Amino acid sequence: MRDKHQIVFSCTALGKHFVAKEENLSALRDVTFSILQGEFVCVVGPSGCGKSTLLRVMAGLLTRSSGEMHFANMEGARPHTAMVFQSQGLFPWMTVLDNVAFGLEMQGVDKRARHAQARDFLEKVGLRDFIHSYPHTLSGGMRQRVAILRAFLADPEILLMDEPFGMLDAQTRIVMQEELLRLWQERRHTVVYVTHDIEEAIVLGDRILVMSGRPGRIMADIPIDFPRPRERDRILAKAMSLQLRIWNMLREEVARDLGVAP
Amino acid sequence: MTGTRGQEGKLASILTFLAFLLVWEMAGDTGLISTAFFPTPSRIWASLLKLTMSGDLTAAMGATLLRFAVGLIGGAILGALLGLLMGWWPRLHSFLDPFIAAVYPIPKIAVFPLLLVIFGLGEKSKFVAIALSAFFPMLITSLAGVRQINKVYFEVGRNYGARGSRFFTRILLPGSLPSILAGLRLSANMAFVVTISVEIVAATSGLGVLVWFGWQTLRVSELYAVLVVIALVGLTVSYVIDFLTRVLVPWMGE
Repeated sequence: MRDKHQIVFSCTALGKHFVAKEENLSALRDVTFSILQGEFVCVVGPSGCGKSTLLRVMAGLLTRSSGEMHFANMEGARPHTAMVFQSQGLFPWMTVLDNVAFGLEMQGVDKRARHAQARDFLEKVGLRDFIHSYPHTLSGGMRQRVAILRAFLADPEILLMDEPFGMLDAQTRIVMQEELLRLWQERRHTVVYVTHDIEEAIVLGDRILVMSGRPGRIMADIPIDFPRPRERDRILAKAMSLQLRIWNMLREEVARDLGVAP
Repeated sequence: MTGTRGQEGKLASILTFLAFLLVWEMAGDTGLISTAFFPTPSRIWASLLKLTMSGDLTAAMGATLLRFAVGLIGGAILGALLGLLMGWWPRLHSFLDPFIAAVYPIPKIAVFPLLLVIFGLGEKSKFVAIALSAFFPMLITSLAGVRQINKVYFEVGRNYGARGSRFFTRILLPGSLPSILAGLRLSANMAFVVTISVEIVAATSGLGVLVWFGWQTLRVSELYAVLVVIALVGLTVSYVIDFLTRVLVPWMGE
């Protein structure tokens, strides 16, 4: 069994800058944190602060410009990360079944085995009727559900989620948060969840990393110790003061980005 | 579009066509138009039957379809592969681009004499000319096909560990397949034009030969009959590609 207090990922003084049109854009600066096994870590910050850049560096889709980054389990068979993208992450040319099984396919699991696993998973969450559908026939919310299932089934060391519900309407989003909590409760994957929605971060996370405006650095690391399993409504009633505390930190950053006097 | 409206449209176009044939027939019978240039539909039909009965038409069609198919399939496959490679590998693209830009605009029939010199009068020179005409449209559309793939699919693929042949068969190829099929349509059109052209210029069999023979012997109604067949072959090819598109790209919806 994996040790609950084992560090699965750590980074020190992580930095990332882009060179675009001879301008040196600094997206991340001096980012240092570590993540424990099974933790649900939310990253909140103003838009454009480098939250997505951080995820992409962790996912190996971007290379870091400076600093160190370390996955504890270097030689394990499991992939380090599997990412859920904001939208459009499902392959339109694959059925729901093939999309969900994609991670296993890339890990070399044979067709029968990966389809069996994907089918079980889809049936369990009530998507049996959509197994052979193509993504374009599904609603936006359902597509994101499938994308999340794909990431869980790939069984990575860390699940990365880049505002997965950002494009959904408020009501769909609430139901999706509850669904994600249920899934996570069962599987206990380590999750890094990027959002700009403070309320969402409080409902979901064990910890919130609050990021500054560009270049993003971590301003605060706040533990959220509401008991689990969580119920969204009950938490929100208690969470108001915390929400305000985080918002007060971010207000200045957002205002500065927009050029508004705080 | 509703089904009934589509059917009504089809019915209307068939009726219009029949009316057109009827007017043509009557205009020819009454001497309103010269049947030397515009033989009546019934005369064309008779020629068509005669050509079919004698076996000339089937033999010609067989020869044409063989050249067309070999050239199109060869040229399209090579074009698609190179297009995908160039789309994926920018260095190859920048290396080959000037050559392609120089060769692409040359009408392929203009290269045919050169191909005759190189490959001789046999079938080989015709296959190459037809393949060449199919190659370029396919190359260019499949290249564009790779470039229009949403970058997020590449990111998902990389993040989940898709590399090498898995990346090619699961992401690059299906992602550009809609463009490749659009390219196939263009390639087929070009290849058909060049097939008939090389037959007119330098063949002893084929629909192109028959149509040219119709002119040389001034059998105008036969000439029309072969043109009708050529049109039908072109239409069939187009339907086959429609069918392929529905089968191979089921995710594109209606």
